[in-house]
Amino acid sequence: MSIPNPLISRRRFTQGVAGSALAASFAGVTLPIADVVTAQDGSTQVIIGAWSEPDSLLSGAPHSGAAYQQIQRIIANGLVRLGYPSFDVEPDLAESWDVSEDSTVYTFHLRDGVTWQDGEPFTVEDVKFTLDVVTSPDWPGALDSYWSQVVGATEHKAGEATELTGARIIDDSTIEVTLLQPDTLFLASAVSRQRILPKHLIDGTTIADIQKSDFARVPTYTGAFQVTEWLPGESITLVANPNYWEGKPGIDTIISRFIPDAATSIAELSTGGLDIGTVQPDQLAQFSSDSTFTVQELPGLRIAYIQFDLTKELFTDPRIRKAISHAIDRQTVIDTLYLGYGEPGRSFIPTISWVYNPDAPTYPYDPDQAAALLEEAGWTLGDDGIRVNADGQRLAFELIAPTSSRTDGLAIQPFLQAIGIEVTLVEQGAGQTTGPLEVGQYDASISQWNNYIIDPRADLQRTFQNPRPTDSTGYANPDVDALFLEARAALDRDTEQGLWFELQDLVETDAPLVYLWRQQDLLVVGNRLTVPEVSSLSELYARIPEWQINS
Amino acid sequence: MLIPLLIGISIISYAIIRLAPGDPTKMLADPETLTTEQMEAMRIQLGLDQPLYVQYVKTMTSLMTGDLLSFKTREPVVEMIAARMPATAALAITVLIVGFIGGIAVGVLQALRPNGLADDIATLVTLIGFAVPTFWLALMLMLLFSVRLDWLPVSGIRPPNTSGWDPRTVAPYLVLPTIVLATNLIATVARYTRSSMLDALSQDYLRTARAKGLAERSVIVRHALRNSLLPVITLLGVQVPNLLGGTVAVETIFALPGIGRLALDSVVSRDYPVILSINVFVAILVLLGSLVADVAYGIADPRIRQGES
Repeated sequence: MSIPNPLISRRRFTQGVAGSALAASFAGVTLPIADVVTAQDGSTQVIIGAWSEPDSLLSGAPHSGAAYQQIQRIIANGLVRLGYPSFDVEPDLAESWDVSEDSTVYTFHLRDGVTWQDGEPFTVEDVKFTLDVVTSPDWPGALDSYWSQVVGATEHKAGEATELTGARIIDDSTIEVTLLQPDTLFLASAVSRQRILPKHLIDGTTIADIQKSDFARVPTYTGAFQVTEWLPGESITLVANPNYWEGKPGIDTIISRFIPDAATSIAELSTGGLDIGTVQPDQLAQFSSDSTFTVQELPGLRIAYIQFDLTKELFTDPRIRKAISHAIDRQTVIDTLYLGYGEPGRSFIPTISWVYNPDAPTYPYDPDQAAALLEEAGWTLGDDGIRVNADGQRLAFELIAPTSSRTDGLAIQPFLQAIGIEVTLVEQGAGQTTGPLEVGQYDASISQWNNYIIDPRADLQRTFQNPRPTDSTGYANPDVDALFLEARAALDRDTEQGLWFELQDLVETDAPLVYLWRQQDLLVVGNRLTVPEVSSLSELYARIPEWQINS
Repeated sequence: MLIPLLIGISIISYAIIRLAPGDPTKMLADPETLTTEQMEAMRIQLGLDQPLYVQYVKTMTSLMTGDLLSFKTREPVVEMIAARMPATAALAITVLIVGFIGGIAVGVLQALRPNGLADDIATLVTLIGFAVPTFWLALMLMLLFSVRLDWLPVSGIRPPNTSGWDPRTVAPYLVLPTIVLATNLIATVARYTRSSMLDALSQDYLRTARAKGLAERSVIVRHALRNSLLPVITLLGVQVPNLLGGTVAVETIFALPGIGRLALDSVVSRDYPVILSINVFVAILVLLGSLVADVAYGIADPRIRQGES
């Protein structure tokens, strides 16, 4: 739960050093836009930026970096994909699918006439090959909990079987996948996340060799754009696939440049070196007042929250957590720190999701209620304004804030002080981050989580279900755990939604996390480029094939 | 002597890298989806379960044979460094040339008219050169020359969608990073040259040279400058590590695809094989820098040449 968000943490790290100085200096500067959109041969070209370079473009390989998240939807296809804005599963290479009555057998009917970017036909053999490869013992990383639901997956991963027995080719365009038990998350969390790999190009190669090979860097998939070049440390070039089954994309070439420093990205954006990018609230005015740019304010998919080590005695009482939540005037912080571009956090998952329960308990700003809860829990105001309990223990703790959340921490501190809680802020730089915090290592921390490309149900599960692989909070509620199993096994969507709602009711009654805010993503587009109206950054990049250059 | 030194450096580097807190397996995979057993399996796969000295020996052996793979990308480390080499080499060589020629020129000019207006201005400018933080200077230059005046590109090493190393294409991209890194070097070299020149100019042999009727230009260049360059040449060996250290910030701000940025990325993700390889590689460069300084010493001062005394 506390993994630093790869899309922002380091960007903010460098921005912290340099960004504010440059951003301040840009104010009021009107800038020419360089003519970068039309290449010399008349073809159209768009340059996008990413703060980090992918490790690999091999779909399914662990940890693929921010640039990969931007382009993964346009270079390759899975059998299904998550749709926008509500993350519903929709057809991709599978034109349709049937689910057996007991919800354990999925029969995928493949799309006709799809070709790989090298012109070879896409076949059912490719799908079977992919499912075999990603569950094979050599595939990097562990078998995740969603794939392990497929019959034979665990055996195949353990080397006890030569193939994934639960995936069976029925005919030239049909493949059947059998699960051990019904799993409502199977399509969204396993199938949608794995792109289909070309058997004809990598069959017979060991996986270690594939990872080292050109395929991992300049792969051939079925997507709208083909990767043609990857210059290490510099950029990835994508060229439109004229034979793409959804039609040829509107732009001929997309270049994704790796620009680690946020201030540099802003400078590139202002001079036309980048055609599109996101900016911080204090940088927006410069672009919105300039007619050479258009601006879109997108709902943020990133939730900032406080998490606690619930095994520490201080935090075992939910009234403390609820009081902390009631103490923070989120709207004021959003208005001052983010110039109004954000909304108070209500839930761990986006409110646009069908899984989100709008009636789950929340603990909005109410300092009187906060004080009352603390009094009720036995914490009375001491002489120095900090509360103490009957044992004389002061209500004080350390709050870890990554550099990217330091200002959030500074904003929260006085609100907690006002109700008698002493908070010591401990800043943690990017280089000090050593993976997620674990129980026993800390008191409380400000964290951010990005609901970027993952189904919200999986986010709930990895955060609140017990046991978890890495335990940051120590949160455990057997009733919640039981509901996770029930929801995953639900046979229809209404039942499933009811179970997710009930689950959120229970979790939010326990209040293991204090939700802070969702900052909006502020998108700036050079006005030679037209992009569709989108619901999130994630959707923006998924719909790159619809981008157009204005003539 | 070079080999034992390199081995010593690599052992110390490896020890320091491993002292840093953090577990690469947590940075590489998504720890939220891995069970403890799976993390352990990954640690075994990366060889992190073995004693530290075994890991060190294995890492160094693979590095020597070119088989060492990055934890993160699973690519051969040697290839990763080779791919990042041209940008850093182009930048470092340009900076060294500009820094030394510029620094020596400024130092000589200062020494010829000590405490004159030019000397005072140059002293002030070199002091500023020492004091200005690299990232600030980089951003201010970017703002002025790239954003306001639109004379130079903001970042990168060449225009997007090109991949060659044509010096005419790359040159505009190197101007700002070179100024940023050379500013400090010019200041350092100028300070050394100035004091060393002042010292040389007051020596008896200069009076002799003038007395025997040599042209003033010859006196300055052949006698004073040549002798006063010795301490400046020593700087060459010392400045290489400073310079490569400076590339970390400059390559990050200017988005240059060089070794400095690779080093930063690897440290953040605890990619031990890459960090160690870069350290060893930089150590080789520093030792080579010292070697070049020794050779240059010999050229500047015949007394130091072997076999002659």
